[in-house]
Amino acid sequence: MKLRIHRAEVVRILLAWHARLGDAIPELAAKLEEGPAAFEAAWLAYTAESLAAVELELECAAEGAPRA
Amino acid sequence: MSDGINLELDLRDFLRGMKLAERQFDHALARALSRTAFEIRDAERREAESIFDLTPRGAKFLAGPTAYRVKPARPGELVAEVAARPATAGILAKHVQGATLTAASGDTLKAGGKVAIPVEGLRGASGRIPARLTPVKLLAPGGAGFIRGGALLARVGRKGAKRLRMVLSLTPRAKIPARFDFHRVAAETARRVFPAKVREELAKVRGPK
Repeated sequence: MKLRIHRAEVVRILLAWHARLGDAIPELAAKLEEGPAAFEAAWLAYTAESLAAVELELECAAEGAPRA
Repeated sequence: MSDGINLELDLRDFLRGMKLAERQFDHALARALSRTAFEIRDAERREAESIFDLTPRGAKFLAGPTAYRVKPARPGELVAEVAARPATAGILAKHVQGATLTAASGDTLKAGGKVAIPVEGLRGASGRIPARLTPVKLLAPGGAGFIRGGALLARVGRKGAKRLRMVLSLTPRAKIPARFDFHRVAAETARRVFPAKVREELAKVRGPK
């Protein structure tokens, strides 16, 4: 059994992640001014929000199933 | 002027950090895939335990910790693999695809040109039939066994208390139903656990330092 994520799915994630980054930069920059901990929290929140709606497709190929 | 230079340097650092963050997605997805593969391995072990009546020896081959191997995914190759080890696959294949055994099948007991099926209770704790009760021993010259109809009988007991015992039933062919659906178990487990694993791993992607 092979589990595979195609590169196209990785690109989808990167696109979703980048999509609102431009708008988020001012807020992230402000958090950077506040300090590393505030920035890290804002960053993780941005990542979680930008990827919340992304559903990845996982290919399950029957290769490797027991055969005689 | 000096502010301008500092800003340029900061931006360069920031962009480098962004590139590093992008690479972390590959690592996160590889971890999510590998963790899903390990969940599948455990699900296959549970499935084997639930559908087979396993002896300790059978449990080791079909449901033991080393019965299935996982090849984890890597960031550069987002493929994880779960497969039965060769010794396990040899036994499982008949139960995955279904099979009809005849005396010509290599991996079965036979007697009188038929498949010999041990009666209940004949196998020991190891899952094996005692050597003295195999068709080869029983039917050897001077052996205690003989064939009558669809059965291999053995004379057991000491002198004066001898009796006949049915040891093996004989049949031209024995059907093994396909009841271990390795692929279904794997696909269902993947569908169930993968989304959460992805979320957990993506949530760990760190930003530029």
